[in-house]
Formats: sequence, structure tokens, C-alpha cells
Amino acid sequence: MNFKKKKTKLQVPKILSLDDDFSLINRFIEGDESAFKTLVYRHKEKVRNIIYLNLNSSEAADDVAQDVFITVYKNLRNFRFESQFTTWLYRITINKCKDHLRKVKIRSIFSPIKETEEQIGYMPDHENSDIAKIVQDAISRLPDKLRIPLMLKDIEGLSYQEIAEAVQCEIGTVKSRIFRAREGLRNILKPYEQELMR
Amino acid sequence: MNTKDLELLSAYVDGELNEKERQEIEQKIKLSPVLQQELVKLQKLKKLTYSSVKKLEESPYFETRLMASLSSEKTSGSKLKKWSPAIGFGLLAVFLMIFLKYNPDAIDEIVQQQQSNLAGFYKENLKPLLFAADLSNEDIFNFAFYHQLPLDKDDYQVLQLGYSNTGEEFFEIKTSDLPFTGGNYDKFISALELNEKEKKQMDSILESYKDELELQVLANEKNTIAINPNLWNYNKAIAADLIAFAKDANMAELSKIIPGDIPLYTHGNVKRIVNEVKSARPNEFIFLTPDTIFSEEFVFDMKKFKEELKQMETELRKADKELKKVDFTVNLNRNLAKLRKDSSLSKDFKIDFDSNFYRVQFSKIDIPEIVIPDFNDIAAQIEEATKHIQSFTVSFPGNRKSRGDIRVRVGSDSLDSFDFNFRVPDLDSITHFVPFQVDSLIKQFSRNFNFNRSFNLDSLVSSYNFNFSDSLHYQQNQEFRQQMKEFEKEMQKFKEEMENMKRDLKKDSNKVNKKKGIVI
Repeated sequence: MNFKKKKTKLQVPKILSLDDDFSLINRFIEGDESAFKTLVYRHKEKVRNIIYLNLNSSEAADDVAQDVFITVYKNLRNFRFESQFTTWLYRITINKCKDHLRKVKIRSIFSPIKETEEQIGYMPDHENSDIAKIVQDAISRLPDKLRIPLMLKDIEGLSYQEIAEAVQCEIGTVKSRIFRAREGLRNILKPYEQELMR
Repeated sequence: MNTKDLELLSAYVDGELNEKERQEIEQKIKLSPVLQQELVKLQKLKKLTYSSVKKLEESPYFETRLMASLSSEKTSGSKLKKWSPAIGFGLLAVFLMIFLKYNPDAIDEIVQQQQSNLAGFYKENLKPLLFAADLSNEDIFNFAFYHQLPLDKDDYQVLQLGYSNTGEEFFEIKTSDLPFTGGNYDKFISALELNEKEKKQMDSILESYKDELELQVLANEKNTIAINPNLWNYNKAIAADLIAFAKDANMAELSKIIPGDIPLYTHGNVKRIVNEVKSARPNEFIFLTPDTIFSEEFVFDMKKFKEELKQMETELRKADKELKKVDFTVNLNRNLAKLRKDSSLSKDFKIDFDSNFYRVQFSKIDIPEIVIPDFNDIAAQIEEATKHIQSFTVSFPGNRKSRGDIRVRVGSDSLDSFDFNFRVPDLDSITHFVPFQVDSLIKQFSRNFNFNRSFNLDSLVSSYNFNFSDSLHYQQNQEFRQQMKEFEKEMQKFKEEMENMKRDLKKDSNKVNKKKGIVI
């Protein structure tokens, strides 16, 4: 008697298919374009926000974010799965922001009038009672080196590790920059301390 | 409380301390009210930061836009393609640099070659312009004293020699300000009161320069004009020659009429000048072209030119002869010529004629509009009409005088034909007999073949065409009629039988009723 068991192949139901970043990337590499769409959908807001906080401009956010994902699309096949996808993604994002700022700077050389006028005329508005506006102004006065890690932490909620990888520095540096950013903010906001700390 | 503690506190607020560090700082916070205060402030600041920054609104069409730009990027091709024009130019530049490094004279050579090509192009087919203008003595005289050579007599274009204020010679091509009425030379002669012999001598002097002057200005069909600068020398030489002659002839009158700027030459220096000019003959020409002006050596081959001219002349003569051979004879109808003169007719007709054609144009002819019937209709009718028509011939015996039989053959082929023989009266008297005879004949035919009498007999014709309906048709009809009669008879019989049966049936039923009464 031959009890040859029929081999039944276990099929993973679609609903249970893995959709973590790595799986999606693998599916994309295998030719599944929809996996890329899922990746975009998952990360676009984070990317857009990082850009927005970096550039302090909501208009540029979409364009730069598009640019980021186009770069991701072109290079995703070479992704090495050594670090988190987000780490790679945020690094691309930060670099794109730097590129953008460089371009804006070059452009401003050729049309300097409006922007420089605004900068010259820029003064902290002491009469402004709107707390959010005061804090925003204060943040915008921080140097990028301090402001960006602070924003990534407090607004976007990235971990020190993620920030360090995105801005390409040590975790310790991130820690100290965030601390210094807060110190700076408190200094700028000193005149409003009582108001703010109520 | 030191900076390190504050930094740790900041990281503590962020939840970024490891277990050991966390415990450490929590310990410190417990003990230090300042740190506690600081912690509250930091927490508050963190909240403030979070709440004060405006959040970016979501972008619902982000993916759609992204996919669109991705697909457009795919179609736009690779980066290399995008930069290919720049790469192309770069390679070309490098190639040129290398090429010029090893061939530094290349560009000069090319330019020079192009120049000579251009010069060659414009130098092609140059012909003496004044040769065509056919210089007269008057022209040469004007050239000597008024420095003008006619280039195009129809357009009053002249070559004007001149001297600038600084004494430099120049020439220009312009519209003449001197009227081409002429007469300057004649005036000169009459002013000097020259006799016939002296005038002839003067003429010969002028004519001696003609050929050479003609060679000084060349032109071709590419609008190039080549001028020999030696013209100035000729100008001086001719003037000197003329004055020297005039001086000998009539010094007193000459000094009255001579233009102020011409020096009075003596015989001695005239000879020198003339010899110099004639011996010099430089071949350097100044070329005026639509594109450029350049000076180059050019030798005009007068011999070849004259040969060409001769050839042309003989060809022309030949052509002239050929032309004379062709004799045009134009014969005009006199009536046509008359028609043309007739004014009443010319309103309706326009008649043009020359050696090659004549044409009559009708101007006011009303062409009536004829309604042409639908031909398909007629064709169908004709076809229907001719369906059963056949022709037959009646042939008379060869000897008209003899009485004989007329043989009538009906049908086109032997299988389907019928022959009829009938006697004909004397053919000589056919005009008298035929109407009667033929009439009876036709009656006979009509009975058998059902055709109409529709012909005229002529004593002279030897054959007739008869049209009549098909005999077969008639036969079939007869057969059919017979069959119908038979059928009628049968029907009559059947009817009678049926009536008999009816009668019998009535008789039977009456019998039954009487026997059994009512049957339900």
C-alpha cells in the first residue's frame, strides 16, 4: 500500500502578505510597481514634513518631496538592506533640502532685492501676543545646524539614531545639538518667559 | 546642576536615555528642586515647540503627480541622451583642438582655397565688355577728355575715371551725367578747323586705341566686372596723343578750347608715354563682384575669344541660311478674308488666322437644348420588338427576261429554314403585274404566317426583306388550341358524369328514407 501524501502548497492569503518596508522593496525589485506606491503612501507625509521644517516653506515641500521619491524610485533596486529604509529615505530627503537651499541661494544672487529686503527688515515682533507666532519666529532664528535636529525630534518624533543617520553625524552630537537648540530657544524667548510658562 | 545634567535632562525629556542614564538622572531630579523646575520648563518648551509649528496639510494628489512625472521621466530616456548634444559638441571641440594642433595652417589654407575658388568662380567666362559696346571714335574721344567710358549705352551706365582731392586715382560705375547725344568729337574737329586729311589722321589715332581699350574692361554673366587699372594710363596716353596732334594742326585754336586740367604735351613726351603704356600691359585686374572686390592677375585670351567669335559668326550665318530655306506659304481663303471684313458677320463670328492656324469663334449661337430620351428604355423596347424578327431574302432568277420561280428562304441556318418557291410573272412587266401578284402572295402568307404587309416593291431591286412572326409560335398555338379543345371535351364529359352521379345519389337516399324512417 502506498500512502503517498499529496503535497499541498501553502498559499499565503493576500491579506497576510508582508508589507513591512523591506518586503515592499523586495516586491518592487521583483517588478511590483504597486509596492512602490505603498511605500510612497506610507512615507510621503513624513518626508514632506521634514522638507517643510527644513526649508521653512510649504510651497517647496511638494516639489522637493517629488524629487526625493523620484530619486528613491531610481535607486531602490540598489538598496542594500543594511539599514532601515527610513534612514536611507531621510538622508535623501535632507540632501535634497540642501540641494534646494543651494539652488535658492544661487537664484537669489541674480534676484536679490526682495529676499534681502525682508531679511534686513526682519525684527522679532515684541508686540506680537500670539504665542505660536513668537515661538515660530524664535525657532526660525536658530541656525539650521541646531534647528533641524530639534524639529526632527519634537515635530517629527524621529529618534536620535534616525536623526543622526539622516543628518550624518554621531548620536552624541544630535543629543548636544538638540540641547543647545533648546537653550537657544529659551534665550530668545526669555522676554516672554512669564507669558509662555503660564 | 551642570551643563551635562541639563543635556541629560533634555535627552530624558525626549526619552532617549538608556536605562542606566535614566535611573541616574531620575535620582538627581528627585534630590534637586532646580532640576525639577528645569524639567517642567523643558517639557513645557517641548510642547510649545510642537504646538507652535504649523502642520503641513496633506497632499492628496502626491502619488498621482509622482507617478506621472516618473512615467514622463521614463520616456525621456537616459541621462546620457539628455546630455548628448553637449557631449557631441565637446567631442567636436576636442577633435578640432587636436587637429589644429598638428595642422596649424589648416584654417588659413581652407580660407585661401575658398578665396581662390571664389575668385575662379567670378573669373569664369569673362568677356570684354566694351567689345560688345562697340566703341566709336566719339566714345574714345570722350574717354580721353571726359574720363568716361560707356558700359551700357541703354542704361547710360558709364565707367568714370577720376582723381580725388588728394590726387589719388579712382573709378566708379555710375549713371552718366553727360548726355549721350555725342558730337563732342565733331565739335573738337570743327573747332580746330581740321581738313579732311587731318580728320582722317585723327580718326586713325583714335581707332588705334580701340582694340586695346576694349580689353581693359571685362564682364561676365555673374555680374563681375574686371577693370584693368592701366585704364588711367591709356586715358593719359590717348589725351596726350590727341593733344600733340592737335597742337601740330592748330595750336592757336587748341589753347582756346582745351580743358584746363590737361597739360599740353609735346611730341617727345607723348611718344614716351604711349610706348610706356603699350609696353606695360599689366595683367592685374580689379574684380568687382556682387560679393567682394579683389585684385588678381588675369590674362584675357583675345585669340581664343576671336576664334570663338568667328565660330559663332559662322554658326549664325549657317542658321541664317537654314532660316531662309524654310519657306512659309500662307494660303488665305479669300472668302474668309471677306468674312473677316464683313462687319455684320463679325458680330457673330470672330475669325483669327495666321500662317499656322485659323480659328472661327462663334459668339452668339443658340444651341437648342434637345431632350435625349432615356436610352435604356428604347433599348429594351427594341430588344423586345426584335425578339421574333427574322429576315429572309427573295432571290430572282438571274435572267430577268425569262419567267422563273422566286425562291424565298426563311431563317438563318439550314436546320431552321423554310424554302418557298413560287412563280413570278414576267419581270419586264413586273411594274404592272407585281402589285396584283404580290398582293395575292401576301394574302397567302398572311394566312399562314400572320404578318403585315408593309413593303413597296420596286422593279429594280432583286431582293426583298420581309419581317414576320415566327411560324413555330403559330404552330405551338395551334397545338395548344387543340389540347384546350380536348380538355374542354374531357371537362364536359366529367361534368356529365358528375350530374349522373348526383341523380343516382338522390334516387338512393329517397329509397332509404322510405324504408327505415327517421334515423337518429
